Amino acid sequence: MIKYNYFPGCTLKSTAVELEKSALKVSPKLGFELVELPRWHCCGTVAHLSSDNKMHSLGAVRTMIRVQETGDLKVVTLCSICYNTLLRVNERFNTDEDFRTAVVEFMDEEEEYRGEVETVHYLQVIDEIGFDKVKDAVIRPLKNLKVAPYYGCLLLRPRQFSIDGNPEAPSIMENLVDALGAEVIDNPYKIECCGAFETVHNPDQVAGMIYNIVEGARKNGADTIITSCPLCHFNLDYRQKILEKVKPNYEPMPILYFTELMELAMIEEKPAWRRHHIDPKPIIEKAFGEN
Amino acid sequence: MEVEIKEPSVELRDKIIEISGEDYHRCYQCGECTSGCPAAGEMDIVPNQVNMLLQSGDFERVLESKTIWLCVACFQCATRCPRGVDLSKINEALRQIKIRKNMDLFNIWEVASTGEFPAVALVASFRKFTA
Repeated sequence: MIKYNYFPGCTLKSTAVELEKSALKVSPKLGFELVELPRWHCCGTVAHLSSDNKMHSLGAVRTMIRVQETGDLKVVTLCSICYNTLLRVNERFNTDEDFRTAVVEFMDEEEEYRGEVETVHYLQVIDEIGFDKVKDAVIRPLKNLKVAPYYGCLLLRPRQFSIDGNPEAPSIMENLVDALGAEVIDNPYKIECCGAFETVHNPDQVAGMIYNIVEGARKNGADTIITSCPLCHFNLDYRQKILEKVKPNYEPMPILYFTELMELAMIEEKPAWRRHHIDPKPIIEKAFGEN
Repeated sequence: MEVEIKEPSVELRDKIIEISGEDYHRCYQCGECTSGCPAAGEMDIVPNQVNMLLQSGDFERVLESKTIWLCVACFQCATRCPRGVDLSKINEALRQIKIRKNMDLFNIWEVASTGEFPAVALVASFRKFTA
């Protein structure tokens, strides 16, 4: 079985634990195994955009040094934010001489980073393996489910870091949903921002933004939305609680990680997900043909 | 909107361009950024107006706007800009100019106690909006 270095990042060990667990469960079904990096650091969460700030990029560089130390320069992430941050910091390391020199000198206790780590997202790994293989691994085609993929920002932008060749109209997740036997539902808001970390001090605005995303999917008939980002998931899932309070007769929609959808199609046992704010039970029952 | 042409503070102008690495003078006001911005509806100055006000030297109005705190850098504007201006970087520079004078957007202790947030939300929010 192929083994890949795996960088979880902070949130996959807490609120997004289900994203990690389901990914680890389904990987062997597709012929690969994720091996968690030793002593990894937080990636810094967001790539710092100031040309004169170096400090906020150190976590990402340290993590990439951990990758380099394994002897295998490829690393897989599940979190969209980690994916984007590692790539951006690596690009800066390779193009900004001043940054590179300062970082290398500052980290003189570490093995010198060479700027060669290749960060890939789990969805790209699946894409490379091929959706026919995904189809072969399905034991329970999700034929009763209508699923709307949601990409958000950081899997697609900036353009040079997009997981999909067409960042304005991506199709990787659509191909995945199709291979799992579910019906693909298009959502005009699938590449719009969910409001991200604005959720901490400005929850009402985020509720307004995710309303557009959820309703966009609902109008086209979706039962659920899938995402790969722990922050998008938190906003789409938890911020519907605000909509339940302010919108009369609002019907909350369960939000799944894309790996949870894979778990429904590939794993024998019924999942016991505990970190969802909107109960995913109706989706699980539909997948198992119980309603 | 009414725009007053002001003598720009050269120091501030250079600072914005240096921190962001972006030159807002390149903007020719096509409005692509605003049409793609998912937060534009909440903004007091919409994205293309940020560039327009900067070009006309009215830095104060932009620095005091809600807009710079509503941008979470989703890069939609940057991706669609035909002039290659990355407004998310300009907004970051404008926030940094405030934050580096210790003008945090909020008190982190008060905000963090308002709910249980994913680690990624807290770290990102504090890094973007506080010193």
